[in-house]
Amino acid sequence: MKNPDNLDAKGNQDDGLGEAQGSDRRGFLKTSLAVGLAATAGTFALNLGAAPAPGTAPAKKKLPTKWDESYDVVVIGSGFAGLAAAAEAAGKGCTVIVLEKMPVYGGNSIINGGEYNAWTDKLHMREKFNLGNDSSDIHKNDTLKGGDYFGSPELVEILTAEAPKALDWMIDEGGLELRQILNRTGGHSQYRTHTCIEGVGKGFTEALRRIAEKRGAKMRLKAKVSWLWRKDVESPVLGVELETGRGPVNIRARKAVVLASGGFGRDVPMRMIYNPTLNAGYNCTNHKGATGEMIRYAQAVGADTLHMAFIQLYPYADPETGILDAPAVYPFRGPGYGIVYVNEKGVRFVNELERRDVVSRAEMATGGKKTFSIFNEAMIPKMGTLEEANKAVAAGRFVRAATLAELATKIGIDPAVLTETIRKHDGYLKDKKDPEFGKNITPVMVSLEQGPYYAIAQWPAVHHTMGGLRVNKDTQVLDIWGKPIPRLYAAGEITGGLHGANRLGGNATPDATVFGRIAGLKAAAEKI
Amino acid sequence: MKRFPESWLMAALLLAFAGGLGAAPAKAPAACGACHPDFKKVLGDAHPAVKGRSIAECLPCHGKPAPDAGKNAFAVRIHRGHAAPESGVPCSACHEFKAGRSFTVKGGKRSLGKPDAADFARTRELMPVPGAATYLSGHHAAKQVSCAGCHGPAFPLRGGEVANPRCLACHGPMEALAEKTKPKEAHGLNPHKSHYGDIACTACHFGHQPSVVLCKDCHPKTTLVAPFDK
Ligand SMILES: Cc1cc2nc3c(=O)[nH]c(=O)nc-3n(C[C@H](O)[C@H](O)[C@H](O)COP(=O)(O)OP(=O)(O)OC[C@H]3O[C@@H](n4cnc5c(N)ncnc54)[C@H](O)[C@@H]3O)c2cc1C
Repeated sequence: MKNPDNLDAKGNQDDGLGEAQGSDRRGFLKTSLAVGLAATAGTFALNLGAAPAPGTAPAKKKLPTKWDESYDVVVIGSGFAGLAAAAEAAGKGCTVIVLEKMPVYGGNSIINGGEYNAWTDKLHMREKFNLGNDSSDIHKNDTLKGGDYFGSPELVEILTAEAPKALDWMIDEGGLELRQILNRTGGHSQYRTHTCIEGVGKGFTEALRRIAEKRGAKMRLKAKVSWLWRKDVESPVLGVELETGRGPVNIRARKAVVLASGGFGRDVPMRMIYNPTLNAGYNCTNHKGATGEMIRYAQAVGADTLHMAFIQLYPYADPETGILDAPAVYPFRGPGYGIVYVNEKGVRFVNELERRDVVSRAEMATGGKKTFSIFNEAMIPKMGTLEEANKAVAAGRFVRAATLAELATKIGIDPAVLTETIRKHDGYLKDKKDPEFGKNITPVMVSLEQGPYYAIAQWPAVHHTMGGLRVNKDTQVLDIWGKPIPRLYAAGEITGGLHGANRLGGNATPDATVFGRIAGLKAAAEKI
Repeated sequence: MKRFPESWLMAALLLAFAGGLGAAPAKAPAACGACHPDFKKVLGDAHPAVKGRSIAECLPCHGKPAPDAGKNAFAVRIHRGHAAPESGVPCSACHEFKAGRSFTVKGGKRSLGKPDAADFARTRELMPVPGAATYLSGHHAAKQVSCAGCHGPAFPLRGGEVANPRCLACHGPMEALAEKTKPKEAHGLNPHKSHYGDIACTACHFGHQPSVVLCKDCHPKTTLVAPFDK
């Protein structure tokens, strides 16, 4: 948070900002407030500016009187949502800048598991692999149910209808390549989870970056946005303030600002406001920049939020570090092919096809410090590649053994117990019935009769913030009265309301991409 | 959070700067000859004779735009001898500076950039005894690499970045660096061949502040260290 009084102290510095920086209090009260919500009739206004310290008076910020730079569309964040927005706005001929605070681009997107849910695709993989039926409606219903019906049906419908189109767009225009696999993952009733060739989100971010750059959008790294400029509750958003090595710089957005700054999983104080149990003791899968300041700045200019307490744990992170690396995605991809989860005693504890929140809670309820996914080599080509698995073994992430007994010994489980658990599960596949946890057995599930066998340790880590800014179907950010804030759009994990209480795995990539595209198009359509 | 100490520092520097360039201390020489009555003593016999008494005399030979990454540059040598505060030599002995407009070597025609007062103050803070400074910049200066070696001939401004090609001109190609930092263990991280692909050298390596290992943000267990991280 910045302290504008300090800005005053160096107000006579010449750093190109002219009057924008100097501020004397009386002048400030006389002129328009940067942010103000009328409290009572009269001169004073409630100022929601950032306070220098908790409990002190809010900062008083004066609107810039001149702009250092200007673009048609200013996008904050360089993940799926920001890049998709930039690509679409630039495609409409807008000048576009993507501002990214980190020294590398891509946020959570570039490190993600490379999973993308779409009920169909131009390669027709589901039909090719004979994996049953699907439709936009089935995907929609799974998504709403997976979020305990807290999610907005209107937004979810757009997600599921547009996800295949956005996928094809990245293939056609961005050179995206997909693995020839299709998975049924936790909470999904069908096989619809696509994986890019790279097996990490970079496959998608690079495709989007290529489209955006081809169309002329520019990206700036180490560019942290530190304020949103809005005159009053009626006014549009005018631009943003950027922290730079040469002091604050103000950038005008002639058409619109698109907030695509992601979730707040790594923001411990913020997540503890909404869920006090999620303290620093929890590991987190997110990149370090996944903090909530942009949500705060948006709130300070009137934006509403919802579902902030819905924070997802990823059940399959590395128990020690919380990392969600390529190996840690296998337990997520595996349930549709018969992967088995066991506790430290070697006993199953949950229906593997359950949602992430259910699996995470079940893991913590085992009373241990880790749980394991057990699978065999026959399953690997369906979840990933043998090459990737070999790497994971070399890195010590996967444990491999010829027999179940040997595998058990290597991971510190009683061999007799693990063998018994797996034999029972093999029987359930044959009987097409799981009397223990009621798993919905399908014909494509692989029995674990044959080795070599694999295990990976897994434990929950804070992963996704379902809540965020309230938006309408056009991605306009709504204020606390439900009115769109003019010229302010948001897409991706910074928004709330789509996933509901629990996000289904593989739904965030299409969420950010689909709504990022809409935000870019809507921003471009604003009149200057 | 960081803002307060920074701006405080900046104010202090501005004062220091005012003393430094504006009102030179009494003992400060205005021309080289005041301290060096006999240039031969400093320059040695091999150096052509120098007649005049100011930096302008050096320019015909040393005033060409600095070769980008050249070693043993005149700029390093001359600053090493003169830029320490104890030397009592103010910047104004050799430079002329109009905030936000120009910065020149006295007698030189070419402006080296348009630093503002804060840029200048920051540079002044970083200048003292190039080579004795810590961090990457000091190391470069000690190896006779001038400011221009990293920043190019223009006066470096606050917050400026050095782009990869400049680092790689001496240290590259990136593949060679990746080979050098190839991890011994199968699961070790190679900072020069990360899953991010080609990233800015300045993501980890900073000239004037401690360098960092970006990988640590997410891989806390790595034992990687960046040179000049303290
Ligand atoms: C390890 C991991 C694996 C995942 N795997 C999957 C998966 O396989 N499938 C799936 O569907 N979902 C997955 N998710 C979730 C999904 O990746 C994210 O929800 C999605 O990437 C969010 O995209 P985004 O564009 O909204 O935000 P991000 O990609 O996080 O981008 C936001 C960017 O904004 C920047 N930013 C923030 N504040 C500022 C500021 N003040 N100024 C400037 N820039 C700022 C951030 O630094 C960041 O780079 C995964 C998440 C993680 C962490």
